Amino acid sequence: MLRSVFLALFLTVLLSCSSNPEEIAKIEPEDIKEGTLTIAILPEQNVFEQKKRYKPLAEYLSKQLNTNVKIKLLDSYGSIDDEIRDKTIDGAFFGSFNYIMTKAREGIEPLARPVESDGNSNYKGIIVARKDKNLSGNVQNWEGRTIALVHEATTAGYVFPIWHLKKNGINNFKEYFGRIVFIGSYDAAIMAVLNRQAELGAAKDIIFEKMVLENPQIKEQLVIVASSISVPSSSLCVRSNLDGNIKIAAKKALLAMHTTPEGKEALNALGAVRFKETADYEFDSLRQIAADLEINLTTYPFRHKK
Amino acid sequence: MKKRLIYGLAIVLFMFSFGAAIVIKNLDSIVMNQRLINEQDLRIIRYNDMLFQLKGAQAELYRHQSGYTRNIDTLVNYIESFDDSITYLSKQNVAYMNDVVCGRCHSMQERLRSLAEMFSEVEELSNNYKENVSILITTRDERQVGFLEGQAANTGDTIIGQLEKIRHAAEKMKTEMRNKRSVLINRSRTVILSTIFITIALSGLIFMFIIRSITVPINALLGGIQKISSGNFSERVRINTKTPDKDEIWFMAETFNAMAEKLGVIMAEKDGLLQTLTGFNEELEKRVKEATEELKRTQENMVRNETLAAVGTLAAGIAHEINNPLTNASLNAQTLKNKLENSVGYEDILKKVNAIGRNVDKASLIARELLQFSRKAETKMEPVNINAIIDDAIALLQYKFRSIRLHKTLSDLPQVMGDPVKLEQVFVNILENSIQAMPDGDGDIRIESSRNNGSVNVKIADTGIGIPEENISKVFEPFFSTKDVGVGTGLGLSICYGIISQYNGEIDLQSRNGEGTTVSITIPVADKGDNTI
Repeated sequence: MLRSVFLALFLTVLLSCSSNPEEIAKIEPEDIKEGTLTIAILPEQNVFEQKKRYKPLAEYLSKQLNTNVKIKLLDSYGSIDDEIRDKTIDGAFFGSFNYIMTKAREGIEPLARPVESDGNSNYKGIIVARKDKNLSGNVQNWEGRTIALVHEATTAGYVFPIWHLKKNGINNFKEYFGRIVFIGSYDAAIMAVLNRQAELGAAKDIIFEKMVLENPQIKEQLVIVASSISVPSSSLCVRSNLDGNIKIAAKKALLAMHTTPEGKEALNALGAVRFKETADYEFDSLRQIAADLEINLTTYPFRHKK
Repeated sequence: MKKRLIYGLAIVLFMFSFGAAIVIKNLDSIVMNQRLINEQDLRIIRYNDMLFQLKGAQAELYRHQSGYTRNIDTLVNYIESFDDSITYLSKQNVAYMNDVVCGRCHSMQERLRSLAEMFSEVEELSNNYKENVSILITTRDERQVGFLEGQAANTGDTIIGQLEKIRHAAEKMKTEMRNKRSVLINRSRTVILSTIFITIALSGLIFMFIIRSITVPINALLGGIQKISSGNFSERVRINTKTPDKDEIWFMAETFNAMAEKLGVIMAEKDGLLQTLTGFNEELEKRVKEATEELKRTQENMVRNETLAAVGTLAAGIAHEINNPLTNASLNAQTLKNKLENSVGYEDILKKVNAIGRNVDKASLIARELLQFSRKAETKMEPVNINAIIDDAIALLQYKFRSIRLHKTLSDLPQVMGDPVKLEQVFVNILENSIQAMPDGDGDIRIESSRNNGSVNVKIADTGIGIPEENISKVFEPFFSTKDVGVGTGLGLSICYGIISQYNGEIDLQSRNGEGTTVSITIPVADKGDNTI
């Protein structure tokens, strides 16, 4: 019996020594992809937030297109045209005004844009003000105020406020306000108004609504004093001279995103439920506004400005 | 015994477990300490990474703001990595604090708490930094740019300063942990060795005690077994124990003692039986010998009886044949005596004729005795009193006793069946032999009669010359005699034998030469109502 006990102990020790060490993860050859597809992201919001939002999409497209899809953050709405022309990017999520201008100058094709949970894939430009400033939609009250705009190449962040003033009989936009601050992003414009750095701020309604959810103070202290027509949200557009197969594949991948778990995860990060096809004609109303404002889309100066 | 073994084993196992627990605890402390050191190393590496990242971000921000580059990816990556490190270290702080709590290092806990607070400040500053940087890289408002650049620079420098303090504190803690580890290892080595030594020593003592407590009684038991196996069944094994009802060896010893006692009893019974068997055997041998002798006697008696019967028949024939010539001769002798009464020489012829007459008478006597010897068929059976017959026989021979002393011890006897005349003749013959065995006329004759169960015994013992041993077996044979020639016919005892045998009795003679003779007669007591043989 003693012999049996010793044998059992010996076997136990032997077996316990035979466990395999943790295996080092191998890099499978298929993980290394050739080629790169660079997609630019405009500073619609905080650049870090932008990267978080679009990184899952880049990973999804990398898998679907079997190529390295890279996100490039731009520091300004004004640089996108140069990037397209210089082919330093293959595509970008264009703002609506940026799209119609770049479309007029360079060859770009719209592919698709995200759709929110309520089915909305458009946005409106808004102008916000602090409630305690008692500013309203009456532009007469806006004279001499400080307004936080985003960039001359943005619809909600520039075109709409000008158009709203012109619609209300104010043509000397630059002289009308006491100070115009080009703050670069919509969330910064809203925060500038909240933090009393500006009295009025131009933003997108969808970004305003998102910020309201994150910061209740915004709803408590700010008010929307004006809003525009609805225009398509930022759409993924690619260079026209990009490989046709890639364009087709990318569009297909985007439109089928909501059918796969990885796609859903990427959509979730974007705050969307799916992608829908974007057609050029959807921007016609904006083209009309630009025409009303006498903006020549091919010569409108914005690209050298930060 | 089983309990003792179990307790002993349990104590040893407990000691080993206790020792193992101490060893494991010490090893555990060392491992924990090493883990804390490793974690601290990782944290310091992270702090270094974070410093690199933030400094890199600061440099990139400067390059961007200076117009050297419009590319903000590197800047964003640095700040993202910095952010990730903060998130990672924030989570690690909790786990690290738990490990330190488990390690019971209170001073370290306090320092870690303070570091954690500094780290929280860094986290908050980092969020502000990010916001400012994000606006800074996109805004075109110069006033804002100037303000935000200052903010970002100050915030960045503050974060870097805090991080460097944190790193310095972490390195100091690591050094202290390393020193503590060395102390812990040295102490653990001492504790482990001591524990091993004490455990082995105590285990050895306990085993010795247990083994002794088992082997001593077992040896006592073995000694007892050996003694008992050598035949000493009185040996007993005594086991001293405090719990006799729970000690297996005590049970074994008691059972053994019981077995020894039973064996002793069995052996004693065996000896007794053996003795009884031996006695029985001796008795059996004696009885066999007696039976053999009886058989021999019976056989002798049968032979004798047959002989006597044959002799008797012969005697009867001879007696009948010579009786007539003898009668004739006696008558003629008498006639001759009458006729020669007045003749010359009559006195001389008368002597001769008288001598002839005497011889004829003698021969006639012999014939009569022969006839008497052969006459057994017609025996009258009647109840008789032996004592009376003895007295009659004594009376008949009274004149022959002379100086011989007669001693009678006659008991009160029941009657026996027999012919009183023949029985009288038996006693007369025997008494005559006794008288003749004392030729000097001096001696003693003892007559005893007694009763013995269903028979009457008569013993006649004399102090005569006795009979030589070689003749004793022949005394009952017909015509055997130790007397001189012409004295007796040698049929006396044969006749006695025949008569007594007829009555289903026994007659026995014991004698020693020169010391006397004893004749014993045994006759069955009369069975009432039976008169014939």
